Amino acid sequence: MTWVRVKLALEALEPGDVLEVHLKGDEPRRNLPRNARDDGHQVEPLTEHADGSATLVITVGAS
Amino acid sequence: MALSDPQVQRYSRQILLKEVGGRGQLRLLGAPFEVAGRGPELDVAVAYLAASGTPVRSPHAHGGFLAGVTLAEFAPDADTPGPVAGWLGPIDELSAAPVDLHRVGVGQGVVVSVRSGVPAPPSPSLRPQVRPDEGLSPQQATPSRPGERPFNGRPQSSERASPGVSPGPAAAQSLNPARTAAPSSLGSPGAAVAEGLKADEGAASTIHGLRPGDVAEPVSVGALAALLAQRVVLGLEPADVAVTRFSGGRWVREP
Repeated sequence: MTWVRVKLALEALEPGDVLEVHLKGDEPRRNLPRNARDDGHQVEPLTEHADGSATLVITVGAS
Repeated sequence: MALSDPQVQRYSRQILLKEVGGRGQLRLLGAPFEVAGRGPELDVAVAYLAASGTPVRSPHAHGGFLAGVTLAEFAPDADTPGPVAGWLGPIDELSAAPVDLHRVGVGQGVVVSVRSGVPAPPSPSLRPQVRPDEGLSPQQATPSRPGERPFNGRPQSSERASPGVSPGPAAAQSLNPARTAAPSSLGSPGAAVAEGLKADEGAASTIHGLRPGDVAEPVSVGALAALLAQRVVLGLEPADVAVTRFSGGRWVREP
């Protein structure tokens, strides 16, 4: 469901806009960057935080 | 307008599809369908449409096969946008007259019309002629040939069957639905045709399915009709070009 919600958020943005996603858990860490790339978005490397969460920055691609 | 949280949960698998997404799902939710016709292909078409979130209703009656009961669990939410709040309407007597496509089409988006070309085979003929209360002896449950699994409407366990005991031809016939079905009720050789036409008025598009007298093909016709209708709604298919013909077991797109 994480990717579904991120996908919906990305759809609401314009190409070039940036979406910052805060993640917890291993599965979103693995899947989200890949899914976002597969959908044509630009993905920055994950930024890990001390509390175990991570931040993923996605730049909306032209679709 | 955005999808509600329950809608996101419910249609998440469709939203994941590249061809659908959130916007596509909103279009599916907001494109009410009216369906008219009879036969299992209509049930299939309506089931696919309703399960995808599309409000569906039938202005016409439906004889015998209407999916009103089976569709209950697929019925769109009451807060589904669009002028049609529910799903299939009351069941009346189906008019044999051709559907008034213009009337049902105007302002209603896509109209799916599934018409039967031959009488529907009675459902019981497709089932084994064994009443539920009739117990099967181990001999009857034994496959008539190695590798052949008799069907009696419930799971079979080869361990329960007595090996090496073959039923007679009559027993085999009563257990095999393919043999039990009367050939005359399934005997339409015709090809199924599903075509989409753009109605003269409004944004309506119609999809017809000429039902062959078979069991599997109506399912294909209904599924195809629903698929084509959804693709039209999603803008993946031109509203006036959606002609598909079933011939020789293969769907062939007309040029």
